[in-house]
Amino acid sequence: MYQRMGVTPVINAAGTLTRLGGTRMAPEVLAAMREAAAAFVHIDELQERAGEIIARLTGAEAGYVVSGAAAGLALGTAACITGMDVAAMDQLPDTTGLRDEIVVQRGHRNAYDHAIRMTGARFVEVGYLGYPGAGGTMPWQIDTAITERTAAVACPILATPGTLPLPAVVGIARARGVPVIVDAAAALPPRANLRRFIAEGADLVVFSGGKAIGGPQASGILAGRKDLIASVALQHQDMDVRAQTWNRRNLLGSGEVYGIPHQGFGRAMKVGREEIAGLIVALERFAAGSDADDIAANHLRLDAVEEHLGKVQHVSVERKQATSQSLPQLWVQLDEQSLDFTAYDVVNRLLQGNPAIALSESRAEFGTVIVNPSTLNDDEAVIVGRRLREVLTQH
Amino acid sequence: MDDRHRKQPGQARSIYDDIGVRTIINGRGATTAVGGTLMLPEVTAAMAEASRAYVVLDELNLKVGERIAEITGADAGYVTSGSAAGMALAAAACIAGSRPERIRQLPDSTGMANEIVIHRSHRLNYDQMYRVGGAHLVEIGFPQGTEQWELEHSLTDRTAAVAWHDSPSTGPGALPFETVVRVAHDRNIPVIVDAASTLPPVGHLRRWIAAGADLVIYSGGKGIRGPQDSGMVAGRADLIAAIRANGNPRAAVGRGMKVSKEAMAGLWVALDLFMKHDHAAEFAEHRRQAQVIVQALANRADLRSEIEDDWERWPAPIVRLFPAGDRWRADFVRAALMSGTPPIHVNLDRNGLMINTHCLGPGDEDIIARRITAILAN
Repeated sequence: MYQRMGVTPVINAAGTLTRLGGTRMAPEVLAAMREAAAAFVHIDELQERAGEIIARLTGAEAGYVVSGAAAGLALGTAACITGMDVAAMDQLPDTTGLRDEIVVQRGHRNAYDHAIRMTGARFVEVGYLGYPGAGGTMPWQIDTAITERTAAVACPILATPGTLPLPAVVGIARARGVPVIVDAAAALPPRANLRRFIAEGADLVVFSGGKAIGGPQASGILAGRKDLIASVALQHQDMDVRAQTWNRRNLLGSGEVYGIPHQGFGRAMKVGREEIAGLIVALERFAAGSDADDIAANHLRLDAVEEHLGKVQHVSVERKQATSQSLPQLWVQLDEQSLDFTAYDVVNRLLQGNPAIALSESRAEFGTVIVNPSTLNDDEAVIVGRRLREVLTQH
Repeated sequence: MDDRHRKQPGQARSIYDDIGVRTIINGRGATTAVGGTLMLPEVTAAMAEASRAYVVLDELNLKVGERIAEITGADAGYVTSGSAAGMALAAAACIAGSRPERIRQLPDSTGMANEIVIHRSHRLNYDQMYRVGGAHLVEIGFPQGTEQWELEHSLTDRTAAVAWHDSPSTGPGALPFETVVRVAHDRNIPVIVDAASTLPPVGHLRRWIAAGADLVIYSGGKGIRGPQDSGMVAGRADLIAAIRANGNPRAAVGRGMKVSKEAMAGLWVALDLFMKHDHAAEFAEHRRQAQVIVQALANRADLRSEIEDDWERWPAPIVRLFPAGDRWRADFVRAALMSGTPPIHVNLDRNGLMINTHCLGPGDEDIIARRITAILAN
């Protein structure tokens, strides 16, 4: 298919990166998507059933399928700003007169939090990065930053030194009645994290669907408080409905909303029934799997790569795991001066070769290329090892 | 550390006994809260001598400033009452310059170019000092990285300076310093470097000026071993002149940050001693002390230790002790060390104990190892 379009397929040894296609879906996931494509359903009903499964697997009150973690952050933030106020929903991303401040630790700011700002929200940053000795975050900094203008506290899962961890943040925010929204996009595995952040008190947690979970690339999960998820649904789904026939007209009857909102802030982040079906199958498969099995399988693939890298001059290799529960990687350290080429050269030569191979360049400035096996199959691992050896021994 | 200045065993009483304050073993490094570093006898003698006569304070600061300029490679230098004062004065100088009506208006900087651009990664609790000097901070970048266009777009006609911070605990993600200097200088904007706690090695004295910094701030009471309440700024002649105009003894933002004649004389002597000192030998001695602590606690199943001895980052080796398992907690052990006799002060870092060997005297390492062993036995 890609060849017919004139696009070069890439062997991906760089990990579940969005720019390389995320992950590879299992046959069962693809089958579910194909099946879902063959019939019509009420999307709100489908989301509701999917949400129940997400809730069961995360321990949250409710769940929702979004078009990726960034959409989850944007929709979750929108819900924290508007609640069930239909006029406020209509006003976004103009937040004039609304609670629109998101308190965040400075060490937690990151490029992906643009998704939070796109709602119209503004960050109120606290804490410092000079840790230890000249900074970190003090609990009072978060506490005093919370005012009646505060919509939520954002707490992404990032281990920046000196930042207060989620349980501490929850302790402060909860006492002030402010929700905590957690970007856990890449915090899987370990599988235990599916439940952990909800258990630690987060009000909304976002996971990517197209990475470790193995779902469709343009999918994500939002899990959390029922009222916030209800607000998300109203700002996301097709609202060209009439009071007389709307599936959710009970919301009008109960007074939870005072009218039917127009097409909402999240309309552009559409999720198809195929994605919802595929994600749910992938999530159930992921939850039923084992971290230890995944780690072992990834070690085997790295064995296949490493086999080719014995006795390459000026190169040393090391297996690395961020924690004992994360998947292993192979760090290939180059002595760039003796080799007369750089880690970036290696990355480029493999990308331009046939087949094209992508390695992780996240440490290339330190002369290291990284083989991430999580997106390789066994055959590809052999090819990566062979090509890497060829490139490293070419002078 | 050279211990001629230390209270010797058997020595009768010290001033701290008279006041009723306990002396401590300093495992935190040259930290203000536990006394910085200890001055050598030559330094205290110079201070005593300086206290016996009157001089024109400006003239004294000019002369010591010439020495600061010489050893840093800068045009000019100035003695401050510590690095924090250096930050406030550097901001005031970049914002108000030497114009008297502006100097008097500070810290209200309305109507002046008063923005200091700073990497988000370089934000730290001392940067309030820039605001004391009238600055508004404009932040760029993330801990994961910064793009050059972010710096370029942050520089406007409201920009007074770009601030750079260098210390062992600086966060990650800043642009290379050369890029910052090039982009800022293209627009005639000065770059301030806060290098308060980066000495020794001696090479760090010239490094920033050589790389294009317009003002560099150092502490005098840390690695230099001058008076605890001294510091210095080195840099461009016009900016140092502006610091002088905003500083003590004039009634300006810097008046409360007074530097005494004794401190200036003490720093002047301390700088000489610092330049001549065998820092490599001292570093090796501290490494030995670090190893003594680690070896005394080796073979314990409930503890994992590491030594970080990167001289580019830390003035002396750092020992970290982490709990293996949950038999002990670092904060409890730290509290027990502080409440014992003699009190031992160490830092916490990432749920472990962090011992900075910079200010350990001979034998302190044995006492620390013994005390930790005893505390862990309970």
